[in-house]
Amino acid sequence: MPESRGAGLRVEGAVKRFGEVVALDGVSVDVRPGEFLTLLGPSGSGKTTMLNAIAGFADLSEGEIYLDGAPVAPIPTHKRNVGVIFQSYALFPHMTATANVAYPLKQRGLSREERDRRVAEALHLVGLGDIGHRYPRELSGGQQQRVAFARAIVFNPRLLLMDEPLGALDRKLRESLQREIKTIHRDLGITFVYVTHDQSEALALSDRIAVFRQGRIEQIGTPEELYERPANRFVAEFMGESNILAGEGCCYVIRPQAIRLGEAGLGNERRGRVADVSYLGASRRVAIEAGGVSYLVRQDAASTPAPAIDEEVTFGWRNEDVLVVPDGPAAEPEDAAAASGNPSGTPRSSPQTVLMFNNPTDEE
Amino acid sequence: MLTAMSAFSSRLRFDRWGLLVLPLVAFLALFFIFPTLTVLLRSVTDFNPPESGGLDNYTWFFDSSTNLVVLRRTLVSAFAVTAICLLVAYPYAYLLTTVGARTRALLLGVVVVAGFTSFMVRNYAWLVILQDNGPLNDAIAALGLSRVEFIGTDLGVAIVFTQILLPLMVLPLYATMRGIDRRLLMAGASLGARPLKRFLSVYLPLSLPGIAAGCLLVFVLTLGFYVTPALIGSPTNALYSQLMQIQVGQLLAWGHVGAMAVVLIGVTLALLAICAGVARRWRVPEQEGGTLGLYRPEGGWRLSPGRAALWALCGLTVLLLVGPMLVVFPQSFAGEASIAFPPESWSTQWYENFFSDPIWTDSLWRSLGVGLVSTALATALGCMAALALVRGSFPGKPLVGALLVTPMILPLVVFAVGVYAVFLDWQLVGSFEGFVLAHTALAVPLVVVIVGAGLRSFDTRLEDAAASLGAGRAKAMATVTLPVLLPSIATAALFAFLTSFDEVLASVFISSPTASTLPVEMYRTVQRGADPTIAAAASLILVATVVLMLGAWRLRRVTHA
Repeated sequence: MPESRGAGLRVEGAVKRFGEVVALDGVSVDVRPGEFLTLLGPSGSGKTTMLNAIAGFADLSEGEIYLDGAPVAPIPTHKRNVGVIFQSYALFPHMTATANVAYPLKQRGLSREERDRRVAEALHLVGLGDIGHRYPRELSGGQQQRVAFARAIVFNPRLLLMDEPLGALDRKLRESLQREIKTIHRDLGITFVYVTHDQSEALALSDRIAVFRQGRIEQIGTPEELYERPANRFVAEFMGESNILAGEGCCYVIRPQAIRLGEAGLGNERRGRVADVSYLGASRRVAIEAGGVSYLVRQDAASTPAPAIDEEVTFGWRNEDVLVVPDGPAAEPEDAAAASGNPSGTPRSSPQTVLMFNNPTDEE
Repeated sequence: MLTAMSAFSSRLRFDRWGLLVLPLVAFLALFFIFPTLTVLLRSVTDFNPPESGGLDNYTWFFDSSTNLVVLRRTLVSAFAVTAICLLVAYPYAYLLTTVGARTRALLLGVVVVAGFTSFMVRNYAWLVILQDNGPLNDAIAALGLSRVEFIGTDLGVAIVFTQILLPLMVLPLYATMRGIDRRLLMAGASLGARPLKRFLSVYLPLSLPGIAAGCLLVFVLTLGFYVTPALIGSPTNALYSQLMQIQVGQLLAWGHVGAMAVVLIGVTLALLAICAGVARRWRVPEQEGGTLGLYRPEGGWRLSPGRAALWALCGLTVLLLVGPMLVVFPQSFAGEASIAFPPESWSTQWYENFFSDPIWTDSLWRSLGVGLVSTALATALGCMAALALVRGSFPGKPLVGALLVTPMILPLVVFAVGVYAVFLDWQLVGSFEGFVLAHTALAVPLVVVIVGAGLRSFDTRLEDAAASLGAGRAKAMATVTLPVLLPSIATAALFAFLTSFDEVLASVFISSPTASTLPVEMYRTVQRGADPTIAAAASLILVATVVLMLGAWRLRRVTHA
């Protein structure tokens, strides 16, 4: 592996208080040079506060942040050489796209020729051609996003911070920009710290994800680790739809796609009534009422027949598909809505039903 | 007041931004609060005859039937002017919320330009229009009716007051109406309320805050303007502020004028309390830049009789707002030395006269110089204070906010008399510095309001962005904050300049026979008699004002497209 051009970032025991409110409550994290780390969590969980502290927009109440081993606290923002992409882009409205991208180079006293060359390079890298003479208000949301990106990387920062940079864009644009961000990350080789409340975005982009809740990190690990071995119930619920079954001192997590309809001999079997069916294109989501609780099932739409509402069905799951996690506070419904990339909070069928006294392994 | 006190105790220290409010507070304390308090205090310290004491000045005031008659007449005419303004402005403001963006910009532009057209120019124009052989009476005669006496009557004064103060009624009404959710009216309709019922039970109550604000402004200003009744009205029907001017200007009876000021402020405060009560009772969720009230059906309105009447009414209002100004142009090219309109022959002699008479040119240069210096001073003080108010914390923040609106709710004649009193002591009467200080005190609240609004809508993330890109705090302010706010600052400076250039109430007092400003010179000339040189001066002012306003409008359009 070639030596990374990115900076190593270490956060030790970060605490941030705003009066009575504790926004960060002892956060520690180590980011490797060149890594793509995502801070994932519901709004108000402290992830943006963390980002602001790294950038230098706010000071920590306690704790220390190190960039390549050196504490950053004494260094003012404008000398940290850290790129930031803001949720609202924060493009300077009185400057053209080119002038926006040239701004950091001007602050660093580069010659005009050098500036022009690097601005053109950066605009090219983010896939913007000849729109440099336009003002931000004359650009589409996606173009503004790209200008913000170019402006944040043109001065070769060793660390790039991104605060929900795709939040204001529509779904299709978001997905294509996700791919581009990943490509640029690979090409530049610098360290990325990315803030989002969208778990699918986090899964798609990150080398590692830190799940934030109430100013603390609940778990940090690769996307696979978080999805397959969540450390607790909150992480399990936040990382995607799940059925949670309560046990003694722990709970059992079954992903909706692990539940099979109409199959026998899986090890765990239930009979229930179909309460709701939603067609999602490639897949289908089925809510089933069984014994007073509802299960959420996701099945392949093409290869399985759709059940009818009120139909009596048999369903089940294999023991190896059950995750056992320590019990803990559940994610708030709005957190889960945010995590599914659905900030408007449209109610889903309720997957978080807790089945009391129901240990799936007992049934064997 | 209670919230002000609790906020006062919870914020007892200045932060870095908060310190920026100090220069303005010091300035206003010295040149606004101190002069005002000086006058009020003289009601119990200054006696005429000197050997009397105690509450003699108040005894004098309430014992004189003239004073009480004038006070009653003044209150009645202020109520009348306020009511007429409201009746004329309400349909106009409503029409503004129901037209397309272009028409709205045009109709609003008429109001703003009229509102900021020189006060003296408008008074002079009305003098021409309302005279016995003037164009209005000619029109009345042409209709076969008998001529009406306007000059020297309360009717004439009321008409001129209405035209001068109308913009101050339209703007707050419009600001409130554009935030009234039109869907509420549709809801009213769906619930079975007929149009008139819908208006009375839904729209009118929701527009009350605007009505209260507009009425308060108009009423208080009517109380404080002595120029209009002095020029248009008759000495036998004098109004309160004229009486105050006479007590000071001719009799130097400071104790009397102090008592009169206290009574006037008492009346104003009582009204303020009523208006504040109304505003609190009907607190409409305030929406910064809310536009839920703007409504125009797809494809425009059908021209119903009601709609046609509304347009006709508003057409007349536009005529009332801009019409008077138009008479000064032909008047300025008159061939004969009278204010007969239209002139019978033409010449450019009044322009030649204006530029060759040192009294006129002196006052013009003085006005320009005073305008520029007080604009610079007001803009600097106002921008700093706006930064402190929007970003900083400091003890007594709500009190400073209140202090800044005081110049708008204090009858101006009180400030004018006060400034005269202290400037006499400080030997600033007739001096350049004196004009600058008084004008700055009057202009600075506008600057704070306009720049403050700009700062509030400024996205502070832009400064964070500049810092992350390598700009230090000062550099970020210079390269990002200042340029983004420049349109607001330029607008504020323009209004500050117009305020100074147009100021006449205080300037009349602090002028000396040899040193006056252009509006004061116009005031003196009109009082002396008919000299069409004033029409030339008025035309020049009018052209300059419109050019400046158009420039400001273009600037805003370019930067906020």
